[in-house]
Amino acid sequence: MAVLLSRLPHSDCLNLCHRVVDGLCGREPPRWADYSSTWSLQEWLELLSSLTTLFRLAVQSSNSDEEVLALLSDVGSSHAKAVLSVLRSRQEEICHALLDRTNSISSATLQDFEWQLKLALSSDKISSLHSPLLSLSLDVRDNGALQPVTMELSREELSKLINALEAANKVVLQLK
Amino acid sequence: MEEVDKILIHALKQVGTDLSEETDSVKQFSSELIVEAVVRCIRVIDPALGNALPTLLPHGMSARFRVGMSLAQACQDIGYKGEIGYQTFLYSSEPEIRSLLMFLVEKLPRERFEASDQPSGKSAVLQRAIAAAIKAQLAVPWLPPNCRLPKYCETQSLLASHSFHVQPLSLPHCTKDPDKKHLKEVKDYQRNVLSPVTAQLSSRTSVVSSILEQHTAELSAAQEWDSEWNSQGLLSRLTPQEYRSRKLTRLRKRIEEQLRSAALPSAESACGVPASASDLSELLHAFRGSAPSDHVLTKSTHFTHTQKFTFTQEAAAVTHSIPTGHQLEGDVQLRQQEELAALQEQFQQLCTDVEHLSADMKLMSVTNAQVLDELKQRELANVQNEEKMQVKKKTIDLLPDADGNLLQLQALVEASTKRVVNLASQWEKHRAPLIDEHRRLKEICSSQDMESSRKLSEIKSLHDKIRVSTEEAKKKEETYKQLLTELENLNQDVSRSAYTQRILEIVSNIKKQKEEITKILSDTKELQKEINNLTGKLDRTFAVTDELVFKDAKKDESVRKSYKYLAALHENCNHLIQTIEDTGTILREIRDLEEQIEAENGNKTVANLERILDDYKAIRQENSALAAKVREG
Amino acid sequence: MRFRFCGDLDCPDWVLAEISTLAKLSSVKMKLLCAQVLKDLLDEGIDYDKVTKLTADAKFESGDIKASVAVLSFIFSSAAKHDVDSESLSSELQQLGLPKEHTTGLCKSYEDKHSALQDKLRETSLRLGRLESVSWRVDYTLSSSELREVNEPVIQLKLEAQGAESGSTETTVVSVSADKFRVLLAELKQAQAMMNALQ
Repeated sequence: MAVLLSRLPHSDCLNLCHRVVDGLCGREPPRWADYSSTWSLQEWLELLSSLTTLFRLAVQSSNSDEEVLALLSDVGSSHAKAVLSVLRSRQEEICHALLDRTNSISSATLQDFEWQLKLALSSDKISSLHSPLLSLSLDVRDNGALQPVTMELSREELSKLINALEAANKVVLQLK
Repeated sequence: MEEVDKILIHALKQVGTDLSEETDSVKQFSSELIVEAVVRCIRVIDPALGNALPTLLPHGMSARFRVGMSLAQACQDIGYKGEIGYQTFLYSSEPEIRSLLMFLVEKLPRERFEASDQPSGKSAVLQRAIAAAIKAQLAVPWLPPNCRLPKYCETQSLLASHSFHVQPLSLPHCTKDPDKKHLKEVKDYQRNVLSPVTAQLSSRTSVVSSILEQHTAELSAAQEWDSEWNSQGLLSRLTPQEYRSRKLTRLRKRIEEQLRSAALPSAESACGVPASASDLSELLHAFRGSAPSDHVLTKSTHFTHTQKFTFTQEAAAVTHSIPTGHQLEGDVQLRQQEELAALQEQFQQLCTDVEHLSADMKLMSVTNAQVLDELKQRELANVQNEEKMQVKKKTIDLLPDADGNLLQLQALVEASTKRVVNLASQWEKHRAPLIDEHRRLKEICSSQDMESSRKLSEIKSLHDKIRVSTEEAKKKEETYKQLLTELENLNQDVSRSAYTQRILEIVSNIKKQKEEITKILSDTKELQKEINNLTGKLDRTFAVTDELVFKDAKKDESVRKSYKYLAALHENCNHLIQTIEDTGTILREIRDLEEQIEAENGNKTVANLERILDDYKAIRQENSALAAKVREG
Repeated sequence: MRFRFCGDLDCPDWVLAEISTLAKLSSVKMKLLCAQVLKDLLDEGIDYDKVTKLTADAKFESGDIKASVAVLSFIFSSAAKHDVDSESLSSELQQLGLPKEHTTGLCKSYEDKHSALQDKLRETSLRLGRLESVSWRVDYTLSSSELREVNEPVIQLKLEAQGAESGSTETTVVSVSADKFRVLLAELKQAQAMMNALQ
């Protein structure tokens, strides 16, 4: 990694590291096409994975500056400092991303949800229905695949759901 | 007539006719206006019939004629009994138009006016809005998907355009840790590298949803904190930071205790699974380690050591995993694999050894601590025993010279009692002011306490008040809005009461007129009676006179002459009466004719004739032009 | 001719035809038949043996029995669907040729069960999924392989919902992070407020 990283000037190194962190946090990672003149594809993949691992490990065990610099001992000091500064400035974001990963370790997680309030006016069974319905759709991420779950809630069902969630929220509030 | 026209114009405006403010009588209606008004009325009365009719008069004369014919037909279909034809529209006369419009306005469905009388509650307003929206959407023509304007995409495409997808954003103000906010690296990153929020995500569609969700998350967090602070935090009389940290430590302690109680029995009983127990205790150590206490940190060195060990291993694995070259020779690989397996075995052996040893060490350290404790206790007991021994030794030393020693002792005791009394008096001297001081401070303290609790309750009540008033304000705003919509709906028939008043006035006028008419009628009748009486009397007198004179006339010549005069007089008088009657009838006829002339004048006959002539010419021109075209074709 | 109980449409021909079949029954028997049909509509179970006995007097064939049950079902469900009151129903049925005593009996049973019938119809109207039960659990994560110090609560939710297509109960177990959970709850509360504002 040391050799590979030192091929890049200091300022570009800073940018690259930020892009790598972006990728770690679920945004767009850097692309090889932008750096193809500097590294071969294999080198690129290596560098990317080792940088990602470095950031992850450093945040995971909340290493001190010295420990991180020790890990980066074979990299030039200016580059090492660049990496360290990126780490320090993005620590919280990485931490947040790792938290998300932690939550999705064992079970399906709620990725997104949408709701829509409808007023059903009439149906084939009865001509004036006039009942409000909330259609709630949950995007559940299970092993990387998004699985949609939709349901329609009547007023009573919604209040049942909210009561259950309220009770859970009370407990959560104590844990904060 | 003015009243009637006003009502007509108001109704026509409601139907949707484009009438300017100046037109206030039917007299001012142009042909175009008449056609538009009539068509709009027909559309409301019978949509199927009315939708086939154009609201604008076409340009060509023959087309105008056809429109007039179809309009007349439509009016007759609806049930208009009066005389109607194309001329009614094209060459209008005021009374005809007025009667036609009155008929149409009467035919307008009543619901339009009644609807606004209904009590307009919230749900009724909503229903009406829904009905209007559905009507509007049904009126929109279907378009193929490619031709749709964005406005119609919403209602005509089945698919939702984009699902709500959230991605994490990096925002400067989200930093939770206040210490880190001012870190130089963070500032540099935010200033130089961080792109604007709209450019952070790859897909544009999720930008809005991400921002919305982030905002909601922060807002709800703030609200929750606010409510918690108001309900509990304020009462604890701590600063928010202190409150938070205290809650955190309390929570930590609780979890730690629970974990400990859960871990202990398993550690005692489970000799077979030392790994899990040690893991848990390691975790406990680590958990403790997060709290700032030194001796715990030193205890957890074993853990940190292993941690470091594994991490450096991994890191080393990462950095060394770069193959320096591609040696593809099989035996080398085989050898390497064997070596690797051997090494792994060795490594595992070592690992288990280490585990065993660490378990042993732990056991040892526990026994060590126990032994140390015991030692300390023994030492303590030793010291106590020695002290006791010395006291006893001194007593034995003093026993030989008992009396002298006793005296000495008594003196000593007396001196000490004196000193004690002295000290007590001194103590009292010092104590009194101190106690006063203490009381004073206590009082101050309690008063401050009272003050602060009073203020707290004040704050609480203020919070409550704020909440109540915001709710009230919201409610009032809502009612205001609802009333506003109701007002808008009501606006239409403000003039209703005015109309009824006018109608009542008109009715009373009519009543008066009717009374006058009956009076005149009775007068005429009386006159007629008198006339009849008089003529009867005259006839009778004449007959008597005639008979008398006729009897005498046979005898006397002069009387005969007078009889002749009488007959002539009678005849002349009859003539006279006849003439007077004739004059009366002629006068009446003259009046009738004058009225008719006036009516005809109102019909704008001359102007209409001229227009008819012009139109006739136009039609002829059109015809000839068409004929020429046919010939050319 | 338009009938309110047919939704302001003309009465179907088969109903018109079978009304004359109904007229063959005595009015008392027909009222009992009405009670059976209403039971069927309210999912309380119809007793076909009883129906056969009721119609035995009029010497109904099995086709006639089916037709009379069908026509009564149609009249009741259609009238309840369009919220027709019993008086209008009575006058409309008489216009269609049902004798007066029969009509009175039918409308009496209809009036008694009117709201129950409407509730039933409302309940069985099309719904895309229902929520049957919610269970939750709050976990406190201390540490994980991804992050050494987590110290964050995680909410596990189990939702049992009737699926939109299958109609069978589907169980979804999902873990929600504390932030997401708060947002979800806030949004749902907002939705509830809007829903309550609708009435």
